[in-house]
Amino acid sequence: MPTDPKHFLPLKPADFLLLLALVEEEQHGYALARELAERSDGAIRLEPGNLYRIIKRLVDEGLVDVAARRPVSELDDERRRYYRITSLGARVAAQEVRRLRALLSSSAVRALPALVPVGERI
Amino acid sequence: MKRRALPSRSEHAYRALMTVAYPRRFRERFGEELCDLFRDRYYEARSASGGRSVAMLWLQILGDLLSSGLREHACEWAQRRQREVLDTSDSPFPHRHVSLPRALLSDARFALRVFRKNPVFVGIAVLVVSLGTGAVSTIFSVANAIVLRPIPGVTDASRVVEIARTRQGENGTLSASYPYYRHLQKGTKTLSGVAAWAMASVVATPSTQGVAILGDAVSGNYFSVLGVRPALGTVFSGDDDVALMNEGVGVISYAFWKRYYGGDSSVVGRSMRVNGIPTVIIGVAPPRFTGVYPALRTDIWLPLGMRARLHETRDGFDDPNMSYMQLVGALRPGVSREAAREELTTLTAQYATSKSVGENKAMSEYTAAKVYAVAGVPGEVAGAVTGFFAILLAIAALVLMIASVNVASMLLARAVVRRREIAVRMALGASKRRLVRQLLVESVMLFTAGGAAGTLLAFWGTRLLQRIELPIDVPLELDVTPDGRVLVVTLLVAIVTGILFGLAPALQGSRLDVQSTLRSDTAGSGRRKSRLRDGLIVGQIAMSLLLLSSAGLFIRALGRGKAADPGFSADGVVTANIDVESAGYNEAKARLLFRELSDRMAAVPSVEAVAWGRILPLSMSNSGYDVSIPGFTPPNGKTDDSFVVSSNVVDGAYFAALKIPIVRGRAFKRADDEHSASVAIVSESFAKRYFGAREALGAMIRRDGKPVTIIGIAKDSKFAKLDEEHEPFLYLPSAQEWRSTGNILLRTRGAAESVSAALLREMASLDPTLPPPRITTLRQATAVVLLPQRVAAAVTGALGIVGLLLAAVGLYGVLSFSTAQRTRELGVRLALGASRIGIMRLVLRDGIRLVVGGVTVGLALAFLATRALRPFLFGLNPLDPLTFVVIALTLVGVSVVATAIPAHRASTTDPMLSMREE
Repeated sequence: MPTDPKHFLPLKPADFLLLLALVEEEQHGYALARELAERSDGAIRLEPGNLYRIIKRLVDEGLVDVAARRPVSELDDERRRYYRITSLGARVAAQEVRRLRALLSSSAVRALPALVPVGERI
Repeated sequence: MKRRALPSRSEHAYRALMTVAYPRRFRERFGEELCDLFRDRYYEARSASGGRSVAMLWLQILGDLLSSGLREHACEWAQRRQREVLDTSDSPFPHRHVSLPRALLSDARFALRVFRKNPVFVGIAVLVVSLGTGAVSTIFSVANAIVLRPIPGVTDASRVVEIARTRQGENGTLSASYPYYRHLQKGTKTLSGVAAWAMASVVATPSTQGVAILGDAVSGNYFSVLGVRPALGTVFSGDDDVALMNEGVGVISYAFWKRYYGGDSSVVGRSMRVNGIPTVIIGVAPPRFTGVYPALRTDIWLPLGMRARLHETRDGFDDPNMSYMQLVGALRPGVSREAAREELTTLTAQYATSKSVGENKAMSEYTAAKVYAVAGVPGEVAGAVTGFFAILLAIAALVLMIASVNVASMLLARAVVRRREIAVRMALGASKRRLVRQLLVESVMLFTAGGAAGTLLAFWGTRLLQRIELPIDVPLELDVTPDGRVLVVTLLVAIVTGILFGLAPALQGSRLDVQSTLRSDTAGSGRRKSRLRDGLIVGQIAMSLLLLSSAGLFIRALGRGKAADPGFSADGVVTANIDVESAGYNEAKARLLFRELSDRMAAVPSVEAVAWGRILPLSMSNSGYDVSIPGFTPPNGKTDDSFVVSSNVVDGAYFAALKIPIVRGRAFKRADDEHSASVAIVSESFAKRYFGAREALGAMIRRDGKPVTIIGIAKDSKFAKLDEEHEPFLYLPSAQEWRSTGNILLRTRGAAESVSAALLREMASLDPTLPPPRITTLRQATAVVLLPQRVAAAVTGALGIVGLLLAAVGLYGVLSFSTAQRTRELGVRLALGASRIGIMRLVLRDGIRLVVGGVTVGLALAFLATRALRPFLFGLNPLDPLTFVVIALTLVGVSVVATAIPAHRASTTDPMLSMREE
């Protein structure tokens, strides 16, 4: 299995958002689906099948794994499985951030506002 | 803790679909979590706004299952393939990893090439599938228009609900009074508003001639609660219905505006008369909005306060007993229907015990609220209508299945023809999986094309259905043309059937012995293969039998309904609804007009009797009066308490005109008028049920506390429904229970036309401003009780014929094909001395065996299934022996013909030719 974070780049938008959603805390599937919808302004809505396909791939690639410990029991639903980001996952996400940052500071991005109407300026 | 409810039906369905959609390994790893997530989404959708969100969720979920399932399978295949290639790379062509979508695309391209070479095959298959999908699509279009499509013209139809009050644990509902409406409107927090409306038939005069239209008297907030914005001008606003009371203002429908004002935008501010009251048009409703029930064409909206002046009645704004309004509300965002129901029930219970309801005990029993999603028909009947369409849809689905079986047989036959091609591909290293996929893609493409063609057929089919004339007295406006939803559902159905019915032939096609096939050995067509084909034919005949027997039962029920004795004679009676109340007549003027009209019509030579009835029997309307009978204990256990009895208000000639015998006592006379003592006539069942051994004639009952004497006992007749048992019935004299609207009934000797002309002439000479009444015969008017049977008999009859033809063609096709396959064998038999009769018997026997099997299975299925039709059969046994015998014989007869042709052909083969062929 590849361990070089660069191997995974560029990340698909859904993968990236999913990794980001796991950075702050461990989540279960339902929360992940909601978070993804929220973070993408509703553009990425995943129904169960496709959500778990992505989770499965990320787990198989070693970017995410199943959380061993559980959050506080009162908030917990006994059957749910929680996912957390792995160190490889975190490194991949960080690499993606770096890649995006470089992209954003490119001259093309700086020249872009001139081409779009005032209301849509960045 | 999260709520952990019992698994719903939806969840079971999801689990089942999951096992179909995903590979086992994926399911084992994530199945439980998928289900959890589905459950969360399901409850979220259900609490959001009920049925429609759940339906949307299912659409999304189905798409999700399909796309993620396919990709997951592709993934598994790729992984397995990789392993296989690594393990044994004995194929001459090293495998490239091909993504599934791309593979499907290349399959599709290949399929197109195959199709192009067999245009006749493709044409027939698509045609056959389109007959089935067309049937489903047509019925679904109508169901969609009537029960599924949300109200057009409002901002958020999914949040609009109907509200009605009911007695705890009962189904019947009571209309709202104004105080009740205000109580809910003030108290509700779950709804953003409650609006009241009441249907009002009015006569509007946009030009010199009046037109009778359907109007709604609505509360001031009606348009804002529904979220309807005017196309032109303004609509009523504000919450103060009393303030709107004396203003003659109205909002007209878009269609009315186009029709009578030619779409002139200066219409706002113009005035017309509505029931004689000058009314200023303040606005035009948006194009598609025709009131809360889109199926009823409403053409004008007037303020609730105007209703009293329109109909010479009280507005009842402070009277809790005047219950004539219907309520609609809009759910606040995030509030479920159930939550609204709970709140409104609390409010209703509060209201029932409040002072304003006061002493009225009957009213105070209504302590619960019902909240319905608004469909095209009133919430109370939506259940029955949905059930009816479910039956029709099931019958259409049978046609689709029969058609699909035909296509499946065709595919099977083709798989045999294509054996060599398939064997070559296998020899070159194509895997079985690959071949199955290829064959499946072909069948799904055929079915999808058939589905698309079926939707086109539905455009034609719905137009045909719309031609059924409805004997109903209200203007109907129903757009049943297929829409996007119909298209999506039809295509989904087509794809699913394509997979289901393509799977067996695909598996069969890919299962062959490469070596023997390539050696062009045709003898081994295999027992298995023909068993599958036989199974299909048996299933097909069974389904035809089911289809035909439902058609037969409906046709028999229709005949039975027509022949049933309703207890009165409708033949030779011409009738017209005359509503002078809407035309602004007061009681005195109306009595005069009615009397004058009766006298003039009685003078027409071909008229035998002239009578009045408030309601026509068997016309889907019903009315009841509260009565109490001294000494009788109604079901609530309180002796002498009042209860509701079905009733009609008629004049003295009614019984003679309808030939309902008065068995004892007398009919009403002209002397039984408003100045004399109150009298009534009761039915025999009334006397028997409420008086038993006591004498009913001359006895006294109470109505609103006032004594009413029974002066006559009439023979029982049916009033509300054809299959009702004889119900207790009460007749009150029209002179004492005056209403300025009713039906004139003319028993005639001659042709109905001449009497109609006379009626129109006399009406016009009495008052030329009255709109001409719609004249019909009582036969036609009572035909409405047979409407479900008529529609069902027509639809299932047509579908039955299509199904029978398809099944016959299928049987013929399969036998021809298998006979053709056996040419050499038959040739050998002939050469060895078998007689031609013997050969014919051989083939016939094969066919008959299938038919008998199919009929047996079909009868078993029909015995189980026709029970669902019982509510529509007027007491006809769902296992009616006559129907089943006739249908089974028909089916056998048709099948024998379909079998005889290939059998005859087989017996006339030339043995030399047939053996040389190979």
